[in-house]
Amino acid sequence: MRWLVVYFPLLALEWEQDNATPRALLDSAARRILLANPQAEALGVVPGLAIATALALVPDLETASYDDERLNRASQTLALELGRWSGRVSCIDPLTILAEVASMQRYFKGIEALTGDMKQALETQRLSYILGLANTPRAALALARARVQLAYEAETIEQQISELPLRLLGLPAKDLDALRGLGIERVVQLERLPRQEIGSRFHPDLLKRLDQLRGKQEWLPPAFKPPEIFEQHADLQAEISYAQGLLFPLQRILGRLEGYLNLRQQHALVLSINLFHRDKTQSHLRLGHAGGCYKAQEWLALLRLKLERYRLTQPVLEVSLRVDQFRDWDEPARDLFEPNTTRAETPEQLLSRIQIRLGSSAINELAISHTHLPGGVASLLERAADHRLPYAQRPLWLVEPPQRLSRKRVEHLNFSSGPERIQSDWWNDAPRRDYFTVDWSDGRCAWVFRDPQQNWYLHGWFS
Amino acid sequence: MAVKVLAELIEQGQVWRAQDVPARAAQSLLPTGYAELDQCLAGGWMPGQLIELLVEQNSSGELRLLLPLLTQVSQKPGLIMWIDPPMHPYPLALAQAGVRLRDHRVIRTQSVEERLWVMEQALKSGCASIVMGWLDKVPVAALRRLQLAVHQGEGLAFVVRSSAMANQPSPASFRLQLKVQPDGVKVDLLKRRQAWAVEGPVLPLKAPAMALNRVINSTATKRAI
Repeated sequence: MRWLVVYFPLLALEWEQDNATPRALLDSAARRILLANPQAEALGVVPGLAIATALALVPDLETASYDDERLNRASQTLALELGRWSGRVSCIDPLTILAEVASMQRYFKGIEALTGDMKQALETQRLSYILGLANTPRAALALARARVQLAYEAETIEQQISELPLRLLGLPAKDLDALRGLGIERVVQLERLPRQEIGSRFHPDLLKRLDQLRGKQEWLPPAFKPPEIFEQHADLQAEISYAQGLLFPLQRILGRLEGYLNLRQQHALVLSINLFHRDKTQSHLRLGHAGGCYKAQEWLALLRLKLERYRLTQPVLEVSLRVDQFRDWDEPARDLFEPNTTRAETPEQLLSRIQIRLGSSAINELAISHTHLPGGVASLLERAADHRLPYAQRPLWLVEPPQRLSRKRVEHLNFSSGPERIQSDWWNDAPRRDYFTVDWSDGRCAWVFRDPQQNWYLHGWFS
Repeated sequence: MAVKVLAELIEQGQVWRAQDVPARAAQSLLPTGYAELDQCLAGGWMPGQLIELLVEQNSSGELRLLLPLLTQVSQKPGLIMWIDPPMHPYPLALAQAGVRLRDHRVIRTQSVEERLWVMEQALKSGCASIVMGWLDKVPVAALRRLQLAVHQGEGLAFVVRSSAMANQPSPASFRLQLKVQPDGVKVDLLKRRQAWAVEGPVLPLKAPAMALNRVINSTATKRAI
């Protein structure tokens, strides 16, 4: 199936709301209910009801008035988001979006997986939606409007189309009335009539619509063009005072970013995030990806890592996300033979990726004060650093834990220097060790020590 | 006939010839710190190529071999990555040798796959001046991936493996075998770029001599103070 229509019947009411409480949209005169969400309808608030009655039924009913601009913005944002599952998206009207889904089916391993993924994303936004799937845009649209149960098998879909009521095809009222007068209300009934008869008796649009429905004639609304700049805001419903709390609103924006980048076939290289605080100040966060990336999941992993180390100075009321740098998908990351110094990763990017995959304990620094050794030994070795003897050489490798040497081995040790006594603070009851440099039998040079119990251990190699 | 076809293809620019690539400037080679070895390597370590060090056992001189390079390279910014070394590099000893420790990172992985992944990422990134990885039995294809990655990132890449792998073919551009002998470590070049294999020099292994009594005396002096 090639075309999917997503219809958002309550978009004007539900957009950017938590939709857990009864809510209704009022007409321009603020007298009657235009739309009510399921919570409100369950309490008896239905479209057409007078506001006074509605408020008597549900005293804490939230009301809003219709806002054209807001609805358009919502529609554009959803078109961006649907770009995650389609390379071509069209806005049929502000409540209805058409997406071509055949080309991305393989990527999602089937249409059912694709719609499943889409449903999951839409449900986290708590939006009511209806899907229509068919081989032609017209049929997908009509199926969504008819609120027909979503089907995947071609036969079932053809059946569903045949059963569609004609009034959902957007025909002139006069023709509809005439057809109804003849007892013809469904597509299948109309199709049984001779074409010539229909053509001469009714408006030419009727045949055209019928052909569009079955794919005998092309109908395709213009493709949605994503804007040049990606910048999205999110008003937070409650103040956020800890950095991790920003993940949720930003996750939504990253989903839209993925759709935007998919539609434009681009990777984002650098994201900049603005946090708007209660006292009208702003904080700024930058997030970079070495090779560029469009997947929301990958950006989210980087973001999570960044926020773990980030402290909010002030509670946040609003966040915005903008893409600062793009790269086209087919643009090669670098030339084959040209030594590339311009697009090298920064060490932070490399290490952050390693950290994401292997965990933060996988990366250790080398520092004299930090020897990543067990406590007692570490302090002992730090103590060794304090000696600062110009000729007291230290081995390049430490054998950790030290290896006990056999009596036989000890008898044949060939000392070249030592002993050097290293003892950590006596009040700690720490070990005391006498260290020697030893020529090992194979020609290598070893660092060994003797503990107060006269046991010998191998502790390092000089090579 | 074949030659003629090839000549035509070259004229059409459809065949890429290694000689057409601008020769790498000699100054991009990094001296090893051992004059005789520099000679064998035509000037020093070559960035952008995989260099394999084959050792009979750990600490057979591989770190002594690289110490002058580490000292030199660590003075400039750029990560120096140790990927799964078999023991702990001792920061104090490195510092004594003049190595700056700031940009060193020791990475510990849980599996060969992770190890190869980290190496590839580090080599590709272009932000690691030196990547040292300890590998053993890995498929030749994995080494080839690393060779491609280092070509991309232009850093210095060393893989330390067991001498037992000397007979296995390797895509590395340089293969050096280290053998410990009573007078030091013998470095043989099993494979090098655009040249025959050659027996190499013997490098010193011993720690600089330090008289027993001097160490004891100075400890005593320090105590007295």
